[in-house]
Amino acid sequence: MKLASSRMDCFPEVAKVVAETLGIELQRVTPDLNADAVDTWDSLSHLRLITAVEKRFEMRMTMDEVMSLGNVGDLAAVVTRHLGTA
Amino acid sequence: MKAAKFARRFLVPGILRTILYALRFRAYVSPRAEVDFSPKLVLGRGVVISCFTKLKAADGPVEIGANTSIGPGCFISSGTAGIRIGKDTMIAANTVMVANNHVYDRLDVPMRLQGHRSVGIVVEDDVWIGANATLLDASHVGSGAIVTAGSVVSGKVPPRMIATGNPARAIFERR
Repeated sequence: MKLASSRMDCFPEVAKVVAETLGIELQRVTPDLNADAVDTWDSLSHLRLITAVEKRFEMRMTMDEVMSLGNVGDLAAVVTRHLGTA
Repeated sequence: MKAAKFARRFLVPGILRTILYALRFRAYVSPRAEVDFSPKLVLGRGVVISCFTKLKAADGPVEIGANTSIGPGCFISSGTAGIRIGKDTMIAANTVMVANNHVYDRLDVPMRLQGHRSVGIVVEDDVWIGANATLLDASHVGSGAIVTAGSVVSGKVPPRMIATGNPARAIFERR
Protein backbone atom coordinates (compact mmCIF):
# COMPACT_ATOMS: atom_id res chain seq x y z
CA MET A 1 0.00 0.00 0.00
CA LYS A 2 2.76 2.33 1.01
CA LEU A 3 4.66 1.47 -2.15
CA ALA A 4 1.58 2.20 -4.31
CA SER A 5 0.88 5.55 -2.67
CA SER A 6 4.50 6.66 -2.74
CA ARG A 7 4.68 5.72 -6.41
CA MET A 8 1.86 8.15 -7.09
CA ASP A 9 3.03 11.05 -4.91
CA CYS A 10 3.65 13.29 -7.86
CA PHE A 11 0.63 12.16 -9.81
CA PRO A 12 -1.53 15.30 -9.41
CA GLU A 13 1.21 17.60 -10.69
CA VAL A 14 2.20 15.18 -13.43
CA ALA A 15 -1.44 14.96 -14.46
CA LYS A 16 -1.61 18.73 -14.85
CA VAL A 17 1.46 18.73 -17.10
CA VAL A 18 0.01 15.87 -19.15
CA ALA A 19 -3.33 17.66 -19.57
CA GLU A 20 -1.69 20.93 -20.60
CA THR A 21 0.79 19.36 -22.98
CA LEU A 22 -1.70 17.06 -24.71
CA GLY A 23 -4.58 19.56 -24.63
CA ILE A 24 -7.02 17.27 -22.82
CA GLU A 25 -9.26 17.71 -19.77
CA LEU A 26 -7.59 17.09 -16.44
CA GLN A 27 -10.36 14.65 -15.46
CA ARG A 28 -9.32 12.33 -18.29
CA VAL A 29 -5.83 11.91 -16.91
CA THR A 30 -5.74 8.72 -14.87
CA PRO A 31 -2.76 6.54 -13.98
CA ASP A 32 -3.77 4.05 -16.69
CA LEU A 33 -4.06 6.65 -19.43
CA ASN A 34 -1.75 5.90 -22.36
CA ALA A 35 -1.12 7.03 -25.93
CA ASP A 36 -3.67 4.61 -27.38
CA ALA A 37 -6.48 6.49 -25.67
CA VAL A 38 -5.49 10.03 -26.68
CA ASP A 39 -5.56 11.21 -30.31
CA THR A 40 -3.07 13.99 -29.67
CA TRP A 41 -0.53 11.69 -28.00
CA ASP A 42 1.79 10.76 -30.84
CA SER A 43 5.55 10.22 -30.85
CA LEU A 44 6.34 13.93 -31.05
CA SER A 45 3.82 14.81 -28.32
CA HIS A 46 5.44 12.14 -26.19
CA LEU A 47 8.80 13.88 -26.48
CA ARG A 48 7.20 17.26 -25.75
CA LEU A 49 5.57 15.70 -22.70
CA ILE A 50 8.88 14.35 -21.40
CA THR A 51 10.53 17.74 -21.87
CA ALA A 52 7.62 19.53 -20.14
CA VAL A 53 7.77 17.14 -17.16
CA GLU A 54 11.55 17.49 -16.89
CA LYS A 55 11.21 21.28 -16.93
CA ARG A 56 8.38 21.31 -14.38
CA PHE A 57 10.16 19.04 -11.91
CA GLU A 58 13.72 20.18 -12.72
CA MET A 59 14.92 16.67 -13.36
CA ARG A 60 16.24 14.63 -16.27
CA MET A 61 15.20 11.11 -17.23
CA THR A 62 17.48 8.59 -18.83
CA MET A 63 16.67 7.29 -22.29
CA ASP A 64 15.86 3.88 -20.78
CA GLU A 65 13.30 5.51 -18.51
CA VAL A 66 11.79 7.46 -21.40
CA MET A 67 11.43 4.29 -23.47
CA SER A 68 10.01 2.26 -20.60
CA LEU A 69 7.00 4.51 -19.96
CA GLY A 70 3.70 2.76 -20.66
CA ASN A 71 1.21 5.15 -19.10
CA VAL A 72 0.85 8.26 -16.96
CA GLY A 73 1.24 6.18 -13.81
CA ASP A 74 4.68 5.01 -14.94
CA LEU A 75 5.61 8.62 -15.65
CA ALA A 76 4.53 9.69 -12.17
CA ALA A 77 6.52 6.83 -10.64
CA VAL A 78 9.69 7.86 -12.48
CA VAL A 79 9.25 11.46 -11.37
CA THR A 80 8.62 10.39 -7.77
CA ARG A 81 11.70 8.21 -7.83
CA HIS A 82 13.85 11.03 -9.15
CA LEU A 83 12.56 13.50 -6.62
CA GLY A 84 13.07 10.99 -3.86
CA THR A 85 16.73 10.55 -4.72
CA ALA A 86 17.44 14.25 -5.37
CA MET B 1 24.18 32.17 -67.81
CA LYS B 2 27.92 31.96 -68.37
CA ALA B 3 29.12 29.48 -70.96
CA ALA B 4 31.19 27.44 -68.51
CA LYS B 5 28.27 27.16 -66.10
CA PHE B 6 25.97 26.18 -68.95
CA ALA B 7 28.40 23.53 -70.16
CA ARG B 8 28.88 22.04 -66.69
CA ARG B 9 25.19 21.91 -66.01
CA PHE B 10 23.83 20.67 -69.31
CA LEU B 11 26.57 19.13 -71.40
CA VAL B 12 28.07 16.57 -69.06
CA PRO B 13 26.02 13.34 -69.35
CA GLY B 14 24.70 11.85 -66.13
CA ILE B 15 26.55 8.57 -66.46
CA LEU B 16 29.80 10.43 -67.07
CA ARG B 17 29.25 12.47 -63.93
CA THR B 18 28.67 9.24 -62.01
CA ILE B 19 31.97 7.85 -63.24
CA LEU B 20 33.89 11.08 -62.69
CA TYR B 21 32.64 11.53 -59.12
CA ALA B 22 33.33 7.88 -58.32
CA LEU B 23 36.90 8.23 -59.54
CA ARG B 24 37.53 11.64 -58.02
CA PHE B 25 35.77 11.35 -54.66
CA ARG B 26 34.86 7.67 -54.21
CA ALA B 27 31.26 8.87 -54.00
CA TYR B 28 28.15 7.65 -55.78
CA VAL B 29 26.09 10.21 -57.68
CA SER B 30 23.08 8.68 -59.41
CA PRO B 31 23.12 9.19 -63.19
CA ARG B 32 19.56 10.39 -62.76
CA ALA B 33 20.57 13.13 -60.34
CA GLU B 34 21.25 16.63 -61.65
CA VAL B 35 24.47 17.56 -59.91
CA ASP B 36 26.44 20.55 -61.20
CA PHE B 37 29.84 19.39 -62.33
CA SER B 38 31.59 22.18 -60.48
CA PRO B 39 34.98 22.76 -58.85
CA LYS B 40 33.01 24.20 -55.94
CA LEU B 41 31.48 20.81 -55.13
CA VAL B 42 33.46 18.62 -52.75
CA LEU B 43 32.20 15.17 -51.80
CA GLY B 44 33.56 12.99 -49.02
CA ARG B 45 34.27 9.31 -49.41
CA GLY B 46 31.18 7.14 -49.43
CA VAL B 47 28.72 9.97 -50.13
CA VAL B 48 25.54 8.84 -51.92
CA ILE B 49 23.40 11.25 -53.93
CA SER B 50 20.20 9.57 -55.07
CA CYS B 51 18.14 9.91 -58.22
CA PHE B 52 16.16 13.04 -59.07
CA THR B 53 18.12 15.18 -56.65
CA LYS B 54 19.13 18.57 -58.04
CA LEU B 55 22.29 20.05 -56.58
CA LYS B 56 23.37 23.53 -57.70
CA ALA B 57 26.95 24.37 -56.82
CA ALA B 58 27.91 26.81 -59.54
CA ASP B 59 27.64 30.07 -57.57
CA GLY B 60 28.91 28.93 -54.20
CA PRO B 61 30.62 25.99 -52.47
CA VAL B 62 28.87 22.78 -51.49
CA GLU B 63 30.83 20.48 -49.23
CA ILE B 64 29.40 17.11 -48.17
CA GLY B 65 31.22 14.98 -45.60
CA ALA B 66 32.05 11.28 -45.76
CA ASN B 67 29.32 8.64 -45.61
CA THR B 68 26.53 11.18 -45.93
CA SER B 69 23.48 10.19 -47.95
CA ILE B 70 21.15 12.48 -49.88
CA GLY B 71 17.79 10.85 -50.64
CA PRO B 72 15.80 10.99 -53.86
CA GLY B 73 14.24 14.21 -55.09
CA CYS B 74 16.15 16.68 -52.94
CA PHE B 75 16.86 20.24 -54.03
CA ILE B 76 20.12 21.73 -52.78
CA SER B 77 21.08 25.23 -53.92
CA SER B 78 24.31 26.76 -52.67
CA GLY B 79 23.62 30.46 -53.21
CA THR B 80 26.85 32.43 -53.04
CA ALA B 81 27.65 31.65 -49.40
CA GLY B 82 27.43 27.91 -49.83
CA ILE B 83 26.29 24.83 -47.96
CA ARG B 84 28.38 22.63 -45.69
CA ILE B 85 27.08 19.21 -44.67
CA GLY B 86 29.06 17.10 -42.24
CA LYS B 87 29.82 13.40 -42.23
CA ASP B 88 27.53 10.47 -41.37
CA THR B 89 24.48 12.60 -42.06
CA MET B 90 21.22 11.31 -43.55
CA ILE B 91 19.09 13.62 -45.65
CA ALA B 92 15.77 12.03 -46.53
CA ALA B 93 13.77 12.32 -49.73
CA ASN B 94 12.47 15.64 -51.05
CA THR B 95 14.45 17.78 -48.65
CA VAL B 96 14.98 21.37 -49.79
CA MET B 97 18.08 23.34 -48.81
CA VAL B 98 18.25 26.83 -50.30
CA ALA B 99 21.10 29.07 -49.18
CA ASN B 100 19.78 32.36 -50.46
CA ASN B 101 16.81 34.69 -50.24
CA HIS B 102 15.36 37.25 -52.61
CA VAL B 103 15.82 40.90 -51.70
CA TYR B 104 12.43 42.56 -51.33
CA ASP B 105 13.30 45.94 -49.87
CA ARG B 106 11.71 48.01 -52.63
CA LEU B 107 8.10 48.15 -53.70
CA ASP B 108 8.81 49.95 -56.97
CA VAL B 109 11.05 47.23 -58.37
CA PRO B 110 9.94 43.66 -59.04
CA MET B 111 11.43 41.31 -56.45
CA ARG B 112 12.92 39.13 -59.16
CA LEU B 113 15.14 42.10 -60.16
CA GLN B 114 16.32 43.04 -56.66
CA GLY B 115 18.97 40.37 -56.31
CA HIS B 116 19.68 37.89 -53.55
CA ARG B 117 21.21 37.69 -50.10
CA SER B 118 23.10 34.59 -49.03
CA VAL B 119 24.40 33.66 -45.57
CA GLY B 120 24.88 29.92 -46.02
CA ILE B 121 23.63 26.69 -44.47
CA VAL B 122 25.53 24.40 -42.10
CA VAL B 123 24.53 20.86 -41.18
CA GLU B 124 27.01 19.28 -38.81
CA ASP B 125 27.98 15.61 -38.38
CA ASP B 126 25.62 12.74 -37.58
CA VAL B 127 22.39 14.59 -38.35
CA TRP B 128 19.11 13.14 -39.61
CA ILE B 129 16.98 15.46 -41.75
CA GLY B 130 13.50 13.98 -42.26
CA ALA B 131 11.61 13.74 -45.55
CA ASN B 132 10.18 16.93 -47.04
CA ALA B 133 12.04 19.12 -44.56
CA THR B 134 13.15 22.59 -45.65
CA LEU B 135 16.35 24.29 -44.53
CA LEU B 136 16.32 28.00 -45.29
CA ASP B 137 19.28 30.33 -45.62
CA ALA B 138 21.17 30.92 -42.34
CA SER B 139 20.01 27.64 -40.81
CA HIS B 140 22.50 25.71 -38.71
CA VAL B 141 21.79 22.17 -37.51
CA GLY B 142 24.06 20.98 -34.72
CA SER B 143 25.70 17.60 -34.55
CA GLY B 144 23.55 14.67 -33.52
CA ALA B 145 20.32 16.60 -34.13
CA ILE B 146 17.17 15.37 -35.82
CA VAL B 147 14.83 17.51 -37.92
CA THR B 148 11.49 15.77 -38.27
CA ALA B 149 9.73 15.24 -41.57
CA GLY B 150 8.09 18.31 -43.05
CA SER B 151 9.76 20.78 -40.69
CA VAL B 152 11.09 24.16 -41.75
CA VAL B 153 14.39 25.25 -40.22
CA SER B 154 15.24 28.93 -40.36
CA GLY B 155 17.68 29.27 -37.47
CA LYS B 156 19.78 27.16 -35.16
CA VAL B 157 18.99 23.65 -34.01
CA PRO B 158 21.29 22.90 -31.06
CA PRO B 159 23.33 19.70 -31.02
CA ARG B 160 21.46 16.49 -30.15
CA MET B 161 18.07 18.21 -30.22
CA ILE B 162 15.01 16.86 -32.00
CA ALA B 163 13.34 19.79 -33.76
CA THR B 164 9.93 19.86 -35.36
CA GLY B 165 7.43 22.26 -36.89
CA ASN B 166 7.31 25.41 -38.97
CA PRO B 167 9.37 27.17 -37.78
CA ALA B 168 11.21 24.19 -36.32
CA ARG B 169 11.51 24.26 -32.53
CA ALA B 170 13.57 21.90 -30.40
CA ILE B 171 11.28 19.63 -28.39
CA PHE B 172 13.58 17.02 -26.91
CA GLU B 173 17.25 16.42 -26.26
CA ARG B 174 18.70 13.05 -27.22
CA ARG B 175 20.58 11.47 -24.37
